[in-house]
Amino acid sequence: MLFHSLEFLLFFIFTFVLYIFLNHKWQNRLLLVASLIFYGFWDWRFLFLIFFSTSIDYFLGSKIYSAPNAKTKKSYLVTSIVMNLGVLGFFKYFNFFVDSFIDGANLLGLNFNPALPKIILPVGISFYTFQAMSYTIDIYRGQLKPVKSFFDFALFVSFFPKLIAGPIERASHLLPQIINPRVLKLNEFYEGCHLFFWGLFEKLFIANSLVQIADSVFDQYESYDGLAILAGLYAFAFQIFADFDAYSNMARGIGKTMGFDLMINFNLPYFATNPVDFWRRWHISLSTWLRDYLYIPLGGNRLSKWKTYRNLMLTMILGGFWHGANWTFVFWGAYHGLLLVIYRAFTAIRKPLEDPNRWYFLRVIFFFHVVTLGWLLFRAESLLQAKGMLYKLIFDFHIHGQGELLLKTIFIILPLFIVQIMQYKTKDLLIIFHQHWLVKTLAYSFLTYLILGWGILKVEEFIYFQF
Amino acid sequence: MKKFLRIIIRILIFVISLEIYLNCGGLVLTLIRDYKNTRNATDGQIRIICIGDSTTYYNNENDYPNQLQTMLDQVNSGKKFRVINKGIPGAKSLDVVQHLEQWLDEGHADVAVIMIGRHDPRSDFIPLPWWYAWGTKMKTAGLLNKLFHSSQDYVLEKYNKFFESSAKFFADRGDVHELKIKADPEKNVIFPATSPEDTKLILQAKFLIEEKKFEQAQEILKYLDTKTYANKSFELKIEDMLGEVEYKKKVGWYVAAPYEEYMEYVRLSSAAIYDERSIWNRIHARWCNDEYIEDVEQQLLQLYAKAEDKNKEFIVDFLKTCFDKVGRQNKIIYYYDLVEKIYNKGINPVTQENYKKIIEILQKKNIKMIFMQYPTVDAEELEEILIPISENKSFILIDNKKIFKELLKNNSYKVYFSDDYGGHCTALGNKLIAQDLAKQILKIYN
Repeated sequence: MLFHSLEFLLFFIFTFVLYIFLNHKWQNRLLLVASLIFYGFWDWRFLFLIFFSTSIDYFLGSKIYSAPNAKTKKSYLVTSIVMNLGVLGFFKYFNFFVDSFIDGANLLGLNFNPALPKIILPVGISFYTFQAMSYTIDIYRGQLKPVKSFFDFALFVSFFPKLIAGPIERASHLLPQIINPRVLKLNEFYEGCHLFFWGLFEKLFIANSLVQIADSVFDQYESYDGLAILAGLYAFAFQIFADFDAYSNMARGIGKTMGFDLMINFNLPYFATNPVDFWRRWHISLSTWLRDYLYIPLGGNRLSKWKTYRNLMLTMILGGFWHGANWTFVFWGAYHGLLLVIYRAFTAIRKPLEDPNRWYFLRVIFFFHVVTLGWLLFRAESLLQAKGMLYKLIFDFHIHGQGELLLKTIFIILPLFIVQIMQYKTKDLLIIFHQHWLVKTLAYSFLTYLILGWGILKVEEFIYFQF
Repeated sequence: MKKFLRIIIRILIFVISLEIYLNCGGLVLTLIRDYKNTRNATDGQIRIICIGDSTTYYNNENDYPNQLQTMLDQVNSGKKFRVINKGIPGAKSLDVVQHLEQWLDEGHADVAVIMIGRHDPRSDFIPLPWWYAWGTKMKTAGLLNKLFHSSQDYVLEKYNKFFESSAKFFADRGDVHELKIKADPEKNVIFPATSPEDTKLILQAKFLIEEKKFEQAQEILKYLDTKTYANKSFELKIEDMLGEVEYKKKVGWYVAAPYEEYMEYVRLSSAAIYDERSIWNRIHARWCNDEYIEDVEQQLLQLYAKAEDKNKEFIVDFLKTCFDKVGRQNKIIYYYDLVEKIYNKGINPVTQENYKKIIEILQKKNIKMIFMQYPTVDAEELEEILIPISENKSFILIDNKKIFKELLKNNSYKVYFSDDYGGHCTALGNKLIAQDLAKQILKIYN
């Protein structure tokens, strides 16, 4: 069930109507059942997996809390981490490791071709596994008390708005909202509807239109010149942002209508001027997760210079690998790691240049292109393709080349761009929502026009589901 | 009250602005196309202007003007050609008369290719009520209609998928179940309050329905109905089954079967079985195969005989689609002809008058005329109209249907047409049109 499908609409209306009439305890039960149905719609077999993960983490969470000494605490924590990463590793990376191993063996001249089962990737596993891990780790650190009710914990893991593609909620943020009664406010309901609608727009108009340009450029890059490849890169940069931001907004919107507050996942990432800023704005729930549970435990920046660099690289490479079992993701992570290292290494030189009022938009544009170069690694099927496209981008670039795609891309991005500038200037992500009602009505009708008239009413998978 | 008023005002503003956006969007698209047309204007070109409705418009690389341009570019004739697309979706011949001079001047046309008339009022045209006519002109209404249909298609697709999988399940089960019941009826007593004999009879009726022997089944059921039982559920069952038989006899077994869907069909039948899209789709998905096609045809023709005029074309068109699925070419062509005969009840006086005006304008400006008839319509009638009104037969008439008909003998309708009827072509269909056109144009200039 995708958020922008007919099934979801019916599912949500049904759930929501029941939700308003129930008391707190039964609201939670209802949401749990709804979440399981929502997940079972993809593949009911993986319900067993999510049940397995949930019960183990619930059990270990309380064990860690009541353990008599540090050693047992630690052993329970290690069990939890090994179990979570084991499940994730098996379902997500098994094929990758086996294929890489076979490739390696074949490179060495061993003819090795075993018949192996192909493991299907359960939807959203990367997201809920990380979430469940944050629970046990926080308890181990003494920052959190275990939940009493198993049902509440199960709802925390499987809450349907954020189950499939995040945001990766922290136990300390979402659990209290589950345990304590929620107040439904009319204004928050409207706000939720607005967020959902804005997400619909980002998905159905922006992302769905851009995906055609990006796909055609990336799939047949040989037949395009530099200008068209640039258009393809821009298209992908905004497609991945719009797609993912759409999902996060819809998730937040759905949460809001039911009185939940899910965290903001994207805060105008393309307005970043440097890599540190970028990762504070892009996929915030993942980057803060990696910071708190990987970077800081590794030592963060408290150790020597070289160890800090190592930590940055390691964190970003693993973060890249989290996105999918493919070497291109690993290199994408390494690219961003390298950016962070360089940024850190040249602190002395860059500091005087970083006057916040000087050249601000130029720096934004420059860094956007740096990020976009990273997306080339991210989207390319292989490193060979990335290399080929880069070559064409530089050596086959004519200003009077195939400009039509670029024009199309700009046309599609334009409405998003204007709204983002408004959001940036006013520092208000809900800028449309806070307009005068007349302006708001005109804006909504324009967005409706773009969605229905230009966007494609096709139900496609969100890009981030496979991560 | 004030709040309520505000909501109404908001909705009104929403709809009005949406309508404005939609109209502006269409305008922008046409402007972009015209800009492209004029951008590459150079001297010494032979400029061909293609006038028509949506079948000409299309607006991508697959429309016939675009394909014509590519073909003419590839031919090494020493001349340069420029094809200009002036198709407007939904254009009537009157629209062409009104704008023709302007288009010809703007485009510096040398040749005019015209395929028009489909949207003209038919000879049996009955004026629509004002509000309806007004509604169809609103772009928002069209958008909502499209949205509704695409969501309906989406639901139907899901439904059909589900049905196909469950049908396969039942087919796989085969007759094993039935044999079991026949062998040992006592073990399958569905209604404990009835005697084994009656149970046997019920099962027998059930099999007879499945075998489509409705009269015999009805006899048994009526006999059972005369018996009175204390068991209410038994009575209901008999009533249900009798209803099922009645219903299947009425609308055709292929519509009503299988029984599980019975209730839904009852609901749909009130919406006139003739043009209910969902029923067509379901029949199409399920019964259009070699085994049942004759039966389906026969029963649809029975419906056809009884149908109102406005529904006849739907039925014939549907028959065409059914045979297309099975791949019986002679039948496809037969119904393809028939649907056209029903749909095009001759070229009406209004269209004739407009053709006359178009020819006058073109002759006055000394522009070469190429008329085309839609690939789904016979060209003879148009020829008969055009000959008397043009001086010394100075036009070329392209009979698209002749070409298409020949090819349809060996290929599926869907290869050439992108919709069931309406004559919108696929890329390949448009290529056929463009090929013939290119030949004629090169003949003029060589």
